[in-house]
Amino acid sequence: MANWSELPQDPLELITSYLSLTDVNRFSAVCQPWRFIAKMKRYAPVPQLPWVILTEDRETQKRKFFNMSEQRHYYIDLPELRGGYCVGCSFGWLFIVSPNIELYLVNPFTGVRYCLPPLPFLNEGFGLDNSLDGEFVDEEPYDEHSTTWYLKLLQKLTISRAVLSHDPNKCEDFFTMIYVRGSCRMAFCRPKDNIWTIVPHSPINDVICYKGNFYAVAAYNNLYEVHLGPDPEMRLIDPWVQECITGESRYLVDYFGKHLLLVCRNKVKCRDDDTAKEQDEDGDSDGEFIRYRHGTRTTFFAVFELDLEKEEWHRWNDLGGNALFVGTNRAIVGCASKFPGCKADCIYFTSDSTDFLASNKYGYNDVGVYNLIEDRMEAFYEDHIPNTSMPTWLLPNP
Amino acid sequence: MITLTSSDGVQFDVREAVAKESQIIRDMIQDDCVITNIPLANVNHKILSIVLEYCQMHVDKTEMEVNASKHQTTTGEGSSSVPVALKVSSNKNLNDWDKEFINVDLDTLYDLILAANYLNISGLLNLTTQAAADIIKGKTTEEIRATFNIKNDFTPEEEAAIRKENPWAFE
Repeated sequence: MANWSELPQDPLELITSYLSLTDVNRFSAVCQPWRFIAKMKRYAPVPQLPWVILTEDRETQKRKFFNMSEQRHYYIDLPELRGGYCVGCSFGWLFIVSPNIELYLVNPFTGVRYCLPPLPFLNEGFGLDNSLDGEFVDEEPYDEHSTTWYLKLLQKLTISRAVLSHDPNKCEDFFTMIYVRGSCRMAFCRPKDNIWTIVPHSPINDVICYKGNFYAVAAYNNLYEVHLGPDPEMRLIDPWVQECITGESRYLVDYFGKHLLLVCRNKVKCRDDDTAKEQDEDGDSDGEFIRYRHGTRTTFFAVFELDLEKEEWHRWNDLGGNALFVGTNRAIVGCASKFPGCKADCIYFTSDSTDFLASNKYGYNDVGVYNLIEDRMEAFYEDHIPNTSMPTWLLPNP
Repeated sequence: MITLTSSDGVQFDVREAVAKESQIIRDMIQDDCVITNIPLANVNHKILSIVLEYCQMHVDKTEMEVNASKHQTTTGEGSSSVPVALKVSSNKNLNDWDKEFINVDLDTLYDLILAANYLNISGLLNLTTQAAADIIKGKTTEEIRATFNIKNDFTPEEEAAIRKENPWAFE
């Protein structure tokens, strides 16, 4: 009679090598011997397509995640995620701004977290331009409601990019680089730092650590090397990509450690004239951005390889059968063999930091799959994504 | 030829190449080149016959490929497209054959895993453990226990603690 709970260790370990993270967790709860094997973690779980972190469930305060491979939602409850706004994700670690504007790095699949130094520049203005409603930044600091509203504004607006240099699971001395929108400056810290070190004069769209150095891309595709240290600085470097220079959404991609890519995303604005006049008619004004009603829709992407040595750039018309996952996260590169079900030569995208003012009507619904070869859009997620939290790609890294 | 004797005393005469699909038999033969009879204390004749069917098939396929490529080399055909195509189609056939082969009941699958592990036949061990994993995939913990007839040996407190570690996986 077969006694599956007492299979020898080697075959049991091999069985776990064919299971996804979800299945390994369920496997580990079957019986004591299986739990022992799962705890050994000899094999990493079978990779799945990246997950998407979504909004909070209002009743339970659990955070909703979309598992694309299984086409279902999961709910994860972590204190740092409650009411938190996710502004970035690198190596499976989420960068969270709490309702009190504390900054955390959280691995949602282990619960491990880092508390980061307090946000710099809190007293500086946001540089919001006049096209926004005057009410939008009208400070009424003595009104309790207004304070809450102001904190929500800070939580949502202040940081538009947050990336890590290395996987914290593998390297304890990593850098966290943030871009503070209002001050138009980057700042970085290491896990034991008490303060952020500010990089002067650094308005950027995206920043990434590639082969040990930070590179940033700014308006008009200007490319910078970011020098860290006590006196950090940004140096403009070549190549300068002379196509697609007007858009706002740009991403730098570490392509398997072999190439640095620039991905330009072109969007059009959707804005209803009548909704612009809408007032608080749903009665739900608790700090949400109901006054400025617009959204964006992505029309196409362009991908460029940046050759830093030869200072040349080349446009790519395909992705060599691989796929990119972009948005507010550190871009993820995947291949169909690594992520079963992944579509070749496609860019999977979510709304990004340039959509932060999207109205609740449009929400953060600018998500989809763009086929670079066929110049064709597809959907991967049909539900409405409210504008209460930015969706972000996440590759589980337990 | 080598004689393999099952735990219940049934003798199987097999070609050396077939027996050598097993790492432990390969090691025995290397250590002692005159060995002709190997008793296998942990495998009964029913399972051994299935294991040998697997080994036979995989040795035959490999030999076919080697012969095909030899033939190609000796006849000096310049293009490499023929053997590649042949290899691909033969791999595909072998995968299909494996899939069909492993479509067995759970008790047999269990015995095959034990035999593949004991005899150290890596291809068969991968095939059988993957088949077990495929059965586990997408099932809840309770469904896995019911399928494999495994008793829940956790205390309620232990079980609650385990589920608390990753509650999302148990929703």
